[in-house]
Amino acid sequence: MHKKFISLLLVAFLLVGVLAACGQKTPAENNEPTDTNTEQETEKPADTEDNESAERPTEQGDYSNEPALVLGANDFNGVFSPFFATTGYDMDIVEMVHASLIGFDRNSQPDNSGLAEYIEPEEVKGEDGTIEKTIYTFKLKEGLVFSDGTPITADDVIFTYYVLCDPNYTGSSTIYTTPILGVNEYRYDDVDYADKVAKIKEEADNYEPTEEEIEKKAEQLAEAYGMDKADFMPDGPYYEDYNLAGIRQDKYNADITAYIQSNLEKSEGHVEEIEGIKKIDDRTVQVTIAGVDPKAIYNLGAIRVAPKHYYGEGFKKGDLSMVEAKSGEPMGAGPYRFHSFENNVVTLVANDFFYKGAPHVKKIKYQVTNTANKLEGVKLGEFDISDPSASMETLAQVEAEEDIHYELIDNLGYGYIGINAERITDKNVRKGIFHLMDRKPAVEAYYGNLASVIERPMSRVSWAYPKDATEVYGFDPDKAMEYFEAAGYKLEDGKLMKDGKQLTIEIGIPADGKGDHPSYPIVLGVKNEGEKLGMAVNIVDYADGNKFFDDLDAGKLDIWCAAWQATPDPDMYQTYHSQGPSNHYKIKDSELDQLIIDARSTNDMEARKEMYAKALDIVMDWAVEMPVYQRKNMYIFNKKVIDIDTLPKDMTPYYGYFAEIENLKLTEAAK
Amino acid sequence: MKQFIIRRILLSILILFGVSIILYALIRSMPGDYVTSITAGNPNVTPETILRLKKLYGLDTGIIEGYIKWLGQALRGNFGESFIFKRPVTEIISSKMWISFSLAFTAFVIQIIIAVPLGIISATKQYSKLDYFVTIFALFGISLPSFFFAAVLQRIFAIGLGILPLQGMVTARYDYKGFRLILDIAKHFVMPIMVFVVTGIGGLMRYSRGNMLEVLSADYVRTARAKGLSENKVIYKHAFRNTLIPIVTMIGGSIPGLFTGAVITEGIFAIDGLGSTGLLAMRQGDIPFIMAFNIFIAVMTLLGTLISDILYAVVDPRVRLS
Repeated sequence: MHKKFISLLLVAFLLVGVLAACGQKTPAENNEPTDTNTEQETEKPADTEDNESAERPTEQGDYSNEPALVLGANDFNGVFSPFFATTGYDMDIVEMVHASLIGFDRNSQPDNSGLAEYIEPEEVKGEDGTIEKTIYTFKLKEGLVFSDGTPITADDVIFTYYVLCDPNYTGSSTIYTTPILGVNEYRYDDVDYADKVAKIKEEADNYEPTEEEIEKKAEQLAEAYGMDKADFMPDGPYYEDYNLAGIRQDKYNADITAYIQSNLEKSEGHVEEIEGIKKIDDRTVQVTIAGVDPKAIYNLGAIRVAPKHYYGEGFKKGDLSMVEAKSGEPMGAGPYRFHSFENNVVTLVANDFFYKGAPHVKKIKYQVTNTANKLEGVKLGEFDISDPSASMETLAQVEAEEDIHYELIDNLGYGYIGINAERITDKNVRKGIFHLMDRKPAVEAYYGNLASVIERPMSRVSWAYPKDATEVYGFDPDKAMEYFEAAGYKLEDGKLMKDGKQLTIEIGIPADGKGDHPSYPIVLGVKNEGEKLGMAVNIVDYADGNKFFDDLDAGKLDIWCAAWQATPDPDMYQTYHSQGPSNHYKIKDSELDQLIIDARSTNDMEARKEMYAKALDIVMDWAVEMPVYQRKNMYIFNKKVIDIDTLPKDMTPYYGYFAEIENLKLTEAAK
Repeated sequence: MKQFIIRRILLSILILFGVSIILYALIRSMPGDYVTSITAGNPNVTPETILRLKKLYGLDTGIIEGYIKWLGQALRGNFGESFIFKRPVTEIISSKMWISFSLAFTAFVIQIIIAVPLGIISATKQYSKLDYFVTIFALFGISLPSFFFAAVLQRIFAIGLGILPLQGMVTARYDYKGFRLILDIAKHFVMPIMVFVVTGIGGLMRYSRGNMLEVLSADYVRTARAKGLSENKVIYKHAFRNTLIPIVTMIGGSIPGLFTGAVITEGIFAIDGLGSTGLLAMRQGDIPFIMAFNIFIAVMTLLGTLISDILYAVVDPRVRLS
């Protein structure tokens, strides 16, 4: 330590002394080869004669002297594991180093671009005609190898599933929520899992509460809804649906939690295999799920196949330490090989064994940068590709630069304003409030051409977004007043009153405490127009986003402004089903529930499209969610370095600028 | 002296104990936790999933139980594995602190070289034009927010003149080796070091000036002058040495703090130091890392005060530690 200290001191002095004269960049001409593991002995792939891999090189090239294509990225956590990466930029590296089992096209529909061909799932029908299970078959293409030359086999695919479904898996993937046969038995180590859960459910549904419990629940409900306790007592109108159902739901939650907790406590393994995952032959894997789940293909197909011999040494159920230990040095079958992460730079070199062909760009580096410097960094030539946050100002600057090419791609998600139907119980009041929202000028002022107003609460990127949807609640204070009057409010002394109470709402918005949010002008408009009509409107601007989401989850907000991330599948269970865990709107509609369940029980896209269009109309009529904007993300490219013609055409959020990375070329000048 | 050190160390342990309780309670009370942040926005997440993940990450306990668990491990030297980096936190801290230290230490040396002489000169020429100039410069530096000054430097040297790289630690495009690499890193560190020096120099300079003024008004200086010694001899032989006493103790005490990193400057210049890493961990609720990092800061602070107390006794024989 002492020695290190002194040598550092010396270096420090040295640095200060020599700084002055080094203003110019030159490539290192004769540096030694960086690392030994870029050039490895490789086994020849098993059968290379009869397919395209016949032209595959037998050895990986050494690209340590190659100048690199440089990307400006945000902070890395250095977790580049296909299992444990959580941040977007770590994920980018994972995607470069690993290849996906099934490929997806521009609309996120499965195609044949992945490691395995896409085969339509087989539906197995029961006697009564309903689909009992769905079988997915994944057949790996021939002659595939990982970047170390080892063949990719069914065992690698199965290994990847087992890690993701492990009871002690701590990453962010949720593939285990797919109803794979036997996955819960495996995770909870209980062969009778399904029976026990069914029993708990049945017991809870038939539970007869004591008088004390009824009393207590009624008190809670009365306070939550601001109504009379008597309404929730056995003689009241809301007893069955709210009090009794609530007590039973509470009991179910408590019992299931206790059961899962007790299962988590014990560590002894009894279930060693997942019933629904089967190896058919060396290249074929079959996954069987219960019933139908249109989302399953995304969970099962989009996995990054990980080499078992590399990640899985000594892997057994419950012990992922070996897998985790490799998080900093990923290896897979993707277009690039991981070389290093040091000095805030990630270095990747081409994988000449890549199944779609060896990439032309032999080295790619990700340089960590401050978001504010992304545009300047590209302008100065410090990096060649980046994603500055899209604003009108940035767009104007980029357009003025001759050497910068830019792409605007829709963001996978949308912005909305939500209303909690349990806090503002009258639909007419909610509709009235919606008529006070003037969305277009707000979105235009904040984003200019970089976002547009949407008319249904769904990202326009989704195939299920009804293209012909029109505005439901236009800005119209007169109409708003009509709705408030219909709800029984009357103007008294300039105040909108009903039963002696003024119409009062509170709006939560996470605008950094300084009104910096695209929806801020909208809620400000609601406040101004609302106060003119005699409402009391309070806007709470959260400086701390975490606090905002805590309050939202706790159901403390009447009205709030937020955004949803979209998934490729438009399933709405989580957000709009009456039992959905993210149903912050408290929308409870039996017709909607049925539509949601029906739509997730079929793989027929056209039929689902229709159901979702209907479901969205119901959501709009409930007036609990005002769709606000669909925004775009910006990507910039240095034309002097990158041959723009080799970027993919018609990029979408599912098909970005690196979707065809193996074809990307640098310009002549840059070489 | 030995007794003093032992007593101080024992006291430090007690303080650390208290610090860790407060830290743990504060961190666990922050809104949002790591499990919430990795599951947020994922429509597949069920309450069961969250329950299990919280259990696996040890977030299912109350504050007191959690603290006892943490303390039990920490006392055995096991500070756990970082949630977000998936590596032992001690390994992360020991690898990144040298980056932060090399930056901060270089800046610190430059600060001393500039600040101490300037402080002494302005004290000897109190209320002269030079004194005012130096004082204004010092206050200017203290008042400059580092993020603002960093942006100004970037605009001038990187964007305007194009002689220094905008940010980062190395030129990513080329793989420099050996001496070239050191030069490359040095070039990238110029602006961050300038930020440290300019924003930090004022304090040390005012401190030297104040001490020198105090010494200059002491009786023995008057005696030296009365004896007819030359002004140079009075200042540099008699006064200067005595001024050094508090300065040396201050400098010695500051050194451990140089390891702990600078959150803002490291972030702006994309330097992979302890400060920016700490901020990243804080944002994502990485409890093991935040705990270890803050305990590390606390240890360094306590070490700093201990060193400066000991140095005080070493430099000034009149001081007896007991």
